[in-house]
Amino acid sequence: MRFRTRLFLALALAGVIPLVFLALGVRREVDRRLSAEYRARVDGAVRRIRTDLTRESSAIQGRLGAFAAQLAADDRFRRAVVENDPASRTWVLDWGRGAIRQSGLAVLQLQDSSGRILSSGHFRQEYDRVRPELPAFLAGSGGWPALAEARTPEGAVLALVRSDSFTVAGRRFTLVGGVATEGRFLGPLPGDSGFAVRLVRGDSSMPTAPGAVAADLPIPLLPLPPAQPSAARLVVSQSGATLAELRRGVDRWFVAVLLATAFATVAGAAWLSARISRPLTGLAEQTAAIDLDRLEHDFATDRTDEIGDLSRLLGAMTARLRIGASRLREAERRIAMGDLARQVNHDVKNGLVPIRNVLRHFDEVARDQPASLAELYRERRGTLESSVAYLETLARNYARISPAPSREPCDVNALVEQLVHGSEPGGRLMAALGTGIPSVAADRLMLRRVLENLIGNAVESLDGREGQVTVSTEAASGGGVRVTVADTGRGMSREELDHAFDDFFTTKPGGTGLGLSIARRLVLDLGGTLRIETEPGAGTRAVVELPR
Amino acid sequence: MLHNTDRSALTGAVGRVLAALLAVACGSPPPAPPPPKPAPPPTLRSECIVSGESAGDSGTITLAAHTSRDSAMVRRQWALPPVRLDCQGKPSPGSAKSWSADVSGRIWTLVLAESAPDAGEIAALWRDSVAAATLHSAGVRWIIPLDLRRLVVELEQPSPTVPAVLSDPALAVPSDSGGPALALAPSTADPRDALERGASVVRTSNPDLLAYARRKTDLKVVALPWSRTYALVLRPGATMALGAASDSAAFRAGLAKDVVPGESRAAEPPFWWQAAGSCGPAPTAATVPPVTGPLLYPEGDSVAAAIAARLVALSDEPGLTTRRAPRSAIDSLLARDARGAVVDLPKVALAPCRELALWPAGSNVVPLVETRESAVIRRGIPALAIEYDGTIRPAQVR
Repeated sequence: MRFRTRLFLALALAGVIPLVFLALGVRREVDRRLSAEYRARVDGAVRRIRTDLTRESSAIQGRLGAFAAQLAADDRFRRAVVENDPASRTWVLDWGRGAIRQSGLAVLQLQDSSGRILSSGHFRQEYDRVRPELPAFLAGSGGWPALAEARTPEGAVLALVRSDSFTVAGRRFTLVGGVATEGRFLGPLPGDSGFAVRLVRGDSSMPTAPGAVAADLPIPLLPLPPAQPSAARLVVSQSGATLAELRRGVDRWFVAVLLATAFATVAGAAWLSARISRPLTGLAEQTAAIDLDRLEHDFATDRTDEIGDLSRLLGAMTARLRIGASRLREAERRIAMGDLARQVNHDVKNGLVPIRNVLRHFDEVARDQPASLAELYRERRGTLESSVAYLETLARNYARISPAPSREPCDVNALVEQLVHGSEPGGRLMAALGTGIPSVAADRLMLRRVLENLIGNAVESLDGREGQVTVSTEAASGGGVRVTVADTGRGMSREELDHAFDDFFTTKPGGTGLGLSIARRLVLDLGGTLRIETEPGAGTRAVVELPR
Repeated sequence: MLHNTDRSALTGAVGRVLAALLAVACGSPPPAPPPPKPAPPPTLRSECIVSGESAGDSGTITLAAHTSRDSAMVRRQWALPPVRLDCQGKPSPGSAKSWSADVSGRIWTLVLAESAPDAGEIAALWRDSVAAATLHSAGVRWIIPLDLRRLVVELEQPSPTVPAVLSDPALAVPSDSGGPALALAPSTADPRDALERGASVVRTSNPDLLAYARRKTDLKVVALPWSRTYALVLRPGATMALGAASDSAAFRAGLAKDVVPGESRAAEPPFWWQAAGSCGPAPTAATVPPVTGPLLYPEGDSVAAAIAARLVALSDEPGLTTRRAPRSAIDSLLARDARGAVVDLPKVALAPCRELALWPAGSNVVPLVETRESAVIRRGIPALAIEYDGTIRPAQVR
């Protein structure tokens, strides 16, 4: 992964991750606080309902007590129940309706000891029905608030009920009365639809939405017959709707902020990573271009940060390399000159030895047989001429080592085409000329010698076998020209490549070992570079890059 | 003209009418059949006249109105059907002063009173939809004005007595012969206030009001005829499981005694809907699904509400309730999503098929109680006549 990518990811994560933690923290805090508030609210409501139930139950008990006293003292009631007086019976039948209007109760009925309804305020026409369940249920509730369902013509009404008893003429009568729970204890809180009190029958659990808070208040319940008395619960619940809405709001804002932040972070990270990595990339590109033959790169900078320090360090290193390379080149030159001198000495000696031998022979014959000197000269003239020719050849060869270059515009494509067309027949040499190749400032003769050497080496590397030598041209970076001489010959080993540019190093029988050495010096004199790319068995590519 | 187009009946009727016209025009009796013997002039029974012990028979009688029926009663004084039915259901002259039938009992000739419109005008009035529907439902085929004062009515079936439909208020025609008039007293919240302000008559079933009137020496209480029958109309296929036998006389008497506010008694046969015969298409014998739903009662009818509540109280069926509904919507609700309805039916139906057409075909009508109202009458007012349905009119027909 590139440094720029890593930097980008680091910056992006550094921007987004805190935001995620912030959102999660806010969400959790909202949950916690609202849940705690809901819990306190629900618990408070349960306490209030318990208090209200007790107070209302006592009030009902008080009203029933007053009715009981009234009925016990009323002569019409006595006549109705003791003497079965028809007119009084009608009065009793209608008593409940009047009493329930006056008392504000929702349920009121008068029953005898067998449970027969004598008068009902909430269901006047239910008289004479025998319903002993309700008095028995209330007697068993121990005076605690209890709920009961009572019939009315329009349906059942759920009421908080109490009972009271009184005796007339030795007969016991029970009054059952109550207030409606719907709207008083049950139902949603006015103005807050999320807060509600519901009645849950039996052990069934009330489904609660996520985030909802609920609390129970157990209370006995007598459903309509034929159902039996059962345990019930007043469930006070705060729906999670508000909390869920708040969560959705937080999530929406979080997503929006996250997107905006992510966009800003990604853009900022991209810009910052590019800004940070660009000088490093430039330094990397400059460093990659450093070569012993190209140590002129300038790492000067005005930056005062670490990048500037690194750039200056690279500049100093390049300067030291430049000095070192110069010294190395000088040392090489000196070594080469020594070798050359020794070689010249050796070659000249070699060339002079026959001449000296012929001259010594001439001295001996001139001293001993002066008459045959002319004959001897004719005999040894060939030797002399041969030696002289050798020395001349040697001199020409050495003369090629240090030509004096001249600079003039040179069409590389034309030169390559000329060389390829003038080569030996057989079709093993071909040209691949690039288009738009600029002219280079070079000595045409030197460039010809370079290419002749490289092409000659390439052709010789084929060693008489089938193969191909391709000379290609192309534009190089910086406006220069790249000439590549590629062959399909035997290639070179690593060791051979290390000595390829050494003077007089040759692997060919009869070779002078000066071709690549001369070519490299000529290219350097032209301001270019020459490098060899080779693998054993895979051919060799000699790449010449010439400045414009 | 009625809707029946039976050609043979038309031919017979036209022939008889032409014969009667010829007899009138030529002054000679038709050869056959002999002219019907004129009925003796009917009179209003004395039992149905409430004397106000008035010194005179003129002036205005004010009625303290508290129901729509009272208002309708005031309007009805200006119109009379051909035949009036008194408080005992006996016919008496209305817009027709006499009537007679031919030997078949299907052709009835009405002789109109002097205060009544011409026969042609009456025939034209009876062409309106309500009157025509009433006549049609009662089996009247033709109405033909014989002359200015005689009107011929042809029935599909012979009738031994004057057809009851001729007493239906839908056939009332304008009639005014002078005499005292019935007018509405100023409206008050309590009828007792109206009486104390001088109102002449109050119709009521309120026991408190009746007890009040009985204590006052200038007022007297007169019981009106049993006029309404409260019945349970069950949709086809519907049943009600009541603890007591709902069709027993004791059950109905119990309802009348303990449930119905006001004067009531157990409904007693005969019931006109049982004697009505077939009206319209017979109900289909298709299987009906079990019928559920509430028990309806008309809005504003405390008697029906009390009876419906009692029926629900006696039923052990969970979920059975009562439901109040506008009177005009009960028939449609009953046909749709109700188990039944407690409704008040007329004690006497002059056009039974018209009444039965209100209920879904095949409905089961269970009679329960009959009710009646009483009239609180101020002493000193002109005499009043009481009709079969409790309608009060000035005794001297206007």
